[in-house]
Amino acid sequence: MSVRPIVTRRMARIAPRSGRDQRIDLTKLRRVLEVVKTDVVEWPTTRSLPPVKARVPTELLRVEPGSASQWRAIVPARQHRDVETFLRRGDVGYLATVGGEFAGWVWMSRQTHRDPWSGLTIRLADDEAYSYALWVKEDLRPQGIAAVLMTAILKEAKEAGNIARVYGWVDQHNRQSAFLLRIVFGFAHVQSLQRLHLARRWGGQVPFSARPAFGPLSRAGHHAAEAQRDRL
Amino acid sequence: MTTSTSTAQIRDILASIIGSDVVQTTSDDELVFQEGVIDSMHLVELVATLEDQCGVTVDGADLQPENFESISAMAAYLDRKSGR
Repeated sequence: MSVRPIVTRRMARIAPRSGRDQRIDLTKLRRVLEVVKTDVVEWPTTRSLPPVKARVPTELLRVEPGSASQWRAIVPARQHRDVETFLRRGDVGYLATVGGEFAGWVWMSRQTHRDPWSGLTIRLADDEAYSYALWVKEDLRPQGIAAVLMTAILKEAKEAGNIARVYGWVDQHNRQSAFLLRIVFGFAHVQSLQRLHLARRWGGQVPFSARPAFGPLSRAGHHAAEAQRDRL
Repeated sequence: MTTSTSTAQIRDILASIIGSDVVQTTSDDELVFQEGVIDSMHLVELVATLEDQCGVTVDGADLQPENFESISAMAAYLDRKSGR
């Protein structure tokens, strides 16, 4: 009579594993939960904008609260709720299309809010804005579309007349975006922090990780009443 | 501007990325982003090659437009970085 070993799920979980298996598990865990070093950067609207040109013919559509719902025909249905949320907050966005197809977007907010994807809360003063969600469809990278989108949103901030600086954030390992923001557009570093990134979808700031303590991620920053008074 | 990292070296690398015809018509002091000679994608390639060839690492604090605005600025930056 053959005896089949009975291994319960619990037993399997606690069974000793080889070093290789453990390494594999750690890799999997890192994919699920990452600690990412991130920089917050700022762009003074007194800076000039460099000329940029995409390598593929790119059309832009400006979207703002109350604008025609033309964006619905461009943005995939699964992202309509995101756009509705952005517009309810009063944000302005630019959608890029290539050959009539949705290619990417960027958004700018004047409202302090928690970015659900990064988990960061950029605290804004009245004369500040936050550019977020710069994204280009993967098969259209790198074609300069991100630079075209960024130029459009920064031009918007520059021409608003009541915005002194625009914030953004970039992960330190993302050299392409760091080069775009800091070297091409001249964004300056203001704060660094660590953020937890869960399943590459949700995230949050690691408490007390922001350096220096004064900045848009901290209680004290240009947004703080004392800081505003000091500037006057 | 006299530099040890020759502008010719940077020109050679740039030529392999954007083509020698474009590089030939670009002066050492021309503002390469302002004039649309290179963009961020080219810069990523350029910096990766420079890091390999010159043995330097471009870190976050170095990401200043002034360090990369022209071919001569890049050469001067690389000299400073490598302590020459």
